[in-house]
Amino acid sequence: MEKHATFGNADLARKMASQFGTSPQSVQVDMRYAKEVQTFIRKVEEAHQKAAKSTLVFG
Amino acid sequence: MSYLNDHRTAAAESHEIFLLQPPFSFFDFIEERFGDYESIRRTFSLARSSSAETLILEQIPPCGIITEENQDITGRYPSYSNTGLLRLSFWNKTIPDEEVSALTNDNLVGYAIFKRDQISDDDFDEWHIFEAVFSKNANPSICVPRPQTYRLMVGGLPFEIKGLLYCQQNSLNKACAQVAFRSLLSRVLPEGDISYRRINEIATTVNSGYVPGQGLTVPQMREVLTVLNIRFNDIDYSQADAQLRKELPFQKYAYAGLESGGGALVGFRFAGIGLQEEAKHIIPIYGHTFDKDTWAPNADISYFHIGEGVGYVPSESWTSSYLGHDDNFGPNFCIPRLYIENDKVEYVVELFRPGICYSGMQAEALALNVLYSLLPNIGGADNKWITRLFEWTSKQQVVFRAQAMSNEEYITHLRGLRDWDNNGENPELCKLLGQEMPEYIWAVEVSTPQLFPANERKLGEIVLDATRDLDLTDDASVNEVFIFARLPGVYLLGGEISNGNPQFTPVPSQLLSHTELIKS
Repeated sequence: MEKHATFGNADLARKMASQFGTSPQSVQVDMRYAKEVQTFIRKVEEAHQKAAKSTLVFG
Repeated sequence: MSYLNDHRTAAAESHEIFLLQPPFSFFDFIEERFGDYESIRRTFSLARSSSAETLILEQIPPCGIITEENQDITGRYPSYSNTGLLRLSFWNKTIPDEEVSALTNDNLVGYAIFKRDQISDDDFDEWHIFEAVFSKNANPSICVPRPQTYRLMVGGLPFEIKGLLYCQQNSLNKACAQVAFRSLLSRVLPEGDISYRRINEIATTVNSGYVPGQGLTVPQMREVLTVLNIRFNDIDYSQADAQLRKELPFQKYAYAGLESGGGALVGFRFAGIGLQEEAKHIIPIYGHTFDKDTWAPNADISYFHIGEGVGYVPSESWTSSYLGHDDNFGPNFCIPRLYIENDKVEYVVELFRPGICYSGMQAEALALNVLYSLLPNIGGADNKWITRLFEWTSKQQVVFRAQAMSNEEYITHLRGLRDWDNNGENPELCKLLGQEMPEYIWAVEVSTPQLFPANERKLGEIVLDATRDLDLTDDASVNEVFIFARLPGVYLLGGEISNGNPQFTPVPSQLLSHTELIKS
């Protein structure tokens, strides 16, 4: 089954809106830097994975 | 209390008390008792600069992890003997008539345990500092996030001190890597310390021919953290090109670790007098200075670029020095942030607080995307701080500061916040968030280059679930950790993705302007 991605916790949004919200309008947002952020996060992760093969010794 | 604390609480076999006012000389004392050791001189210098007036020197028997250490050294060097073990405590009060009962925790500026190792067959006879803790310098620009409390007995009475454990190598059963690890692990492990035997046992599972006195390999260090269930983020720069050093500078890893309370280990190469070739050394970093009036954030070099044309001002821009230990030279040094040249750094590891699954660097990047994307869409012309924040984000003059927190810590912080007009948040809203949020979060604080240093205040935070691994399967999944953005006058909560764009639900906040930063 295909995974259904969400941007956060929709249940929490509903609970917060029902108890404390004043506007029914949600805001639709174009995530402007999704690619750059994804690339950066992957870069950090790849460096971390690669360090498993490190041959450095500190003593 | 675990056996890990036995050496601190051991009953003394004998004791001496020294009043430290002139003409008492630490220089003479050190040379008469110990010889010439940089680390021991540094320890006494710290005591003197902390206005110590009394030294209590107790001879203690080996116990707990020191007994273990002695057994392990004997296993490698049969003619080994531990011929000296002293607990020294320094007090900012002159005690009358040797009355230790006149002292309180507030009088304790630091303690140290000095150990003498002798191996008769090898003509080895060295003192080293098994451990030491000195309280943080009282200067308010010195920041030590989440210091650990260490308990000890002096004169048969219990005392405690906050700080971060300093440990020194002896090249027998521990080198710089093991002692650096013990410093940081003593803060993050629930049991409050770790023995060298335990570190070395784990390291042996990676390399059975391992010689503890020669230090740890990176795979061994990673295994120690993994077995102890401490998540981490690391990078080996010797595998990387110059571009990666620039894109992922060691300072980002180090600062992310120390600011969130886990600390960081920085491994570097150095050459010096007496060294035939470049040596490798690793040190623990656990705090930082906060220099309100530094010029650096105004310079373009201070920006941290996530990608081409998108960046922010990291909170570390106001840091000129890290606080760390160098086991060769002693505890509690200020290490200028830009002093260790980037191309000399070989390895850095950011330790996460228990419960945290990904890096503060990654949290800041996610927060940037949320904030920079949200602001053009939420209007908010009726709140001047939203309008200002929008202006600042368009110029990328935004400060991010990632803080790893428990749910309880964050909700306590939120409940205590007051905006500039002294408004507080709705307690019922705080209660609901506390009920629904995960156990650990990243709160990425949002501020500006004027507000952050001068007032130590912020305009809100982007809150992320820190208990889940980042899902990198596609561009959208990584954002599943988003919980909400709190900005002046409004919370924005995430939800469904429609036509590729997420929808955010606005909920009013009673905090209408800037509020205090998180203090850890």
